[in-house]
Amino acid sequence: MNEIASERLRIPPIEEVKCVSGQAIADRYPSFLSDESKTEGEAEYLFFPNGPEQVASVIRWCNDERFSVQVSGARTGITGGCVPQGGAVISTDRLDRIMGTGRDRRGHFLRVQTGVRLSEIDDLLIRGTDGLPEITPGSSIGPGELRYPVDPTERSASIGGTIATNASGARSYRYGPTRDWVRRLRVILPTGDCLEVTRGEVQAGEEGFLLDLPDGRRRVPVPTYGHFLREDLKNAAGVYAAPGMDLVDLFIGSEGILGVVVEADIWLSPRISTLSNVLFFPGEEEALHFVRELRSSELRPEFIEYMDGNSLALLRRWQERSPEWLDVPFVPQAGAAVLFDLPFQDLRDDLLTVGEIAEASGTSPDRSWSAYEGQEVERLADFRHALPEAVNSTIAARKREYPGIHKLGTDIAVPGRRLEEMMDFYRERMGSSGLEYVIFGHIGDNHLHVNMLPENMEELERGKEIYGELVAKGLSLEGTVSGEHGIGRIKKGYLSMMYGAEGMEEMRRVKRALDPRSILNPGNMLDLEVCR
Amino acid sequence: MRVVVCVKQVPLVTSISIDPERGTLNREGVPSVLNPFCEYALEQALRVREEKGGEVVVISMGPPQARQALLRCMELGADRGYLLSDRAFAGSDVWATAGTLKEAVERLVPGYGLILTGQQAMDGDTAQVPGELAEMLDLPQVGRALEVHPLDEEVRVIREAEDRVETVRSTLPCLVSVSKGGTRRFPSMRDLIGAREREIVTVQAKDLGIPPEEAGLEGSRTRVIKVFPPPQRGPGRTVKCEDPWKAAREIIDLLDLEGDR
Repeated sequence: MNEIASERLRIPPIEEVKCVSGQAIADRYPSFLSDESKTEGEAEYLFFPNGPEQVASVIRWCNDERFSVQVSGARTGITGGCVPQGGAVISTDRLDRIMGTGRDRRGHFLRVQTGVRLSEIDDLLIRGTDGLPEITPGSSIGPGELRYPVDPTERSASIGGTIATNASGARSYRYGPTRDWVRRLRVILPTGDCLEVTRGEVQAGEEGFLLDLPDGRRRVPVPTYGHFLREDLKNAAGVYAAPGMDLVDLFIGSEGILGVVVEADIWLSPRISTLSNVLFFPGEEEALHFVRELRSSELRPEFIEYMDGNSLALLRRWQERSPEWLDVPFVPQAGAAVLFDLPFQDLRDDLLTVGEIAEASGTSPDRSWSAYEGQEVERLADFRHALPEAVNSTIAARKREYPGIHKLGTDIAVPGRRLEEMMDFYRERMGSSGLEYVIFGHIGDNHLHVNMLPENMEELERGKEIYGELVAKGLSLEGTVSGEHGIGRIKKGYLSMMYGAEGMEEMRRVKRALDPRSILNPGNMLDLEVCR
Repeated sequence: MRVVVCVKQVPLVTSISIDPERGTLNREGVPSVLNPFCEYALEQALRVREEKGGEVVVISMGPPQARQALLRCMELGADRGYLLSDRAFAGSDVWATAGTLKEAVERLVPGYGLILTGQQAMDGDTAQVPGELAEMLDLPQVGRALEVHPLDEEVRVIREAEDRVETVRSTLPCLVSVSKGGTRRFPSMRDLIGAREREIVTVQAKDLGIPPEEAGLEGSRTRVIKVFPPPQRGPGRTVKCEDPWKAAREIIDLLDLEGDR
């Protein structure tokens, strides 16, 4: 079935919604005018709706008044996707209810409002859901039994933000991105009407989706580009499209331009113990050999991550400056490191297997760090997360002299068979760039981040040019400009490089069908005529 | 040099709660870990061995599951381990614990040059055992050590004091209790496998010749009457803002928002 009828909510008057306006926003809530991209915006109204009905009230008011509206979750994104461009801001801070547990054929799920943070979900699941309503009887979850496996590093992210961006992170190697874990959504459309969609209920037909709204029937076309169909390409760029796709998937990763997600059911998976490892290599080639062998072994890693020699050197520099910064030993001199978690099963046999692969790949199992006890695994996770932190701190220090400076971080992913070619290009191009850079990230997903750290404005400009070359190369290898960060407002140029004029027009058609006045998150992904 | 490290397994106190009615700790489902102070002590012992050679012997008193804490020590590089585990040891206070450790050290590691312990255990936080053990063995003791450097006949210890760092020297053998400082290592994959190939010996009261009246609850001189939690506080929230004035306004508004709920 490709038809769905909207639900009309009992919409309260806009005056009932807590609101701050004018200069008071910048004075009292400055954080709502920026995000982790560190770009700045402005807003005339800032609303704090306390539930879906109040969200609908704000959206409908904005639609009637032709006011643009920016949805704002935890503002942990790095592409400016929730930096307001004038108009109104809707904070999801008060959409903070964890509504209950449920169970279907696939397993347990949690029903949450979308302002709930990932850390809150994890804390709850560690404690157990005793006392929480059971949406399906007998679905209560014991302490520490289950987890939400999507782990985009930033645990303060809101679930709504992770749905809007189809967030992934290291563990998507084994578990896939957010998309694979969303069971059901409630979405407020610009008319203030609500769509309640459960996965499996509404799938695109030849004419796309048919939405019955109070003001008539809308046809939402499905774009014909095939970027999301490419085998093993991790892609978070553009509006999702696939023949016969589920309506739930249309909203996931759409960066909030099609509707406001106010509630979600997310599936959970067993919480498993892991054996965390860091293995150091003489160079990139050996590390890549190891990754290939590990992927094709019978071991089932939770994730496979990579740090190049520059990354390790940067971490070591920060350690030498302040050893207390990170509770790990001094990073050894090495040409690369591969970081991977294995399910904790047979420690001895699994490590012997890893050791054999390591030796066949030009390193030794002695050149490794391993952990399996909870807090030790956390320590290694801190090590993994320390690199972006070191990059950001380095840039922050340079900003003092050059306030306009920022890091240039790529998010290019390619299909698996193209990974080596992409890495060769990174090495050659970056090696001759004269810029400081690190390469790290989700090598298991063929998705590495190149972070350039310019030292002055001239280097920044040079970096931007090189950035374009890296993206062009990635696209020529059938890759994507964004494997996980999304497009937001700062990577739009690259999105049209990727999809071409026709693909961009197809996205615009989807947008117009759902948001004809283009009030929602204007400027995200698409350049459109926007209202104020 | 033969270095003994006395270690303890403790519940991960960050995940522990107190039953206010019964006045006991809720330990169910709480993971147990090697006491962090003990891990720093072990780290110093391993460095002493790296400098001077010899062996590192770890001893722990505890229930059978405390073997895991010893296994962790072996993974980190200890050469051998003894688990003092016997029903007779149950309920030991600091005095009975020190008495049992004394017998163990003397009988199991004759000719030791140095005893290292953690400054305190993060479950009881008494910090009494190191001092009592040193007293019972008639050894000099240095506390709150950050670094331990062996010399030929002596040991040089860098220790933290309230407002300064001191370097002190002691004759050997001696007992040094170690505070948290410096970096801790990770075992390598090979260390994890190797640790499982070395033996951890379980030792009972009779093996140490300790009479029942001197061990465990009976041999203890103190008793915990009541355990109760300090008043609870809710979780905090961080407001990030460069301008303190704006940050303050944001906090005021957050409080305002809380009031509206």
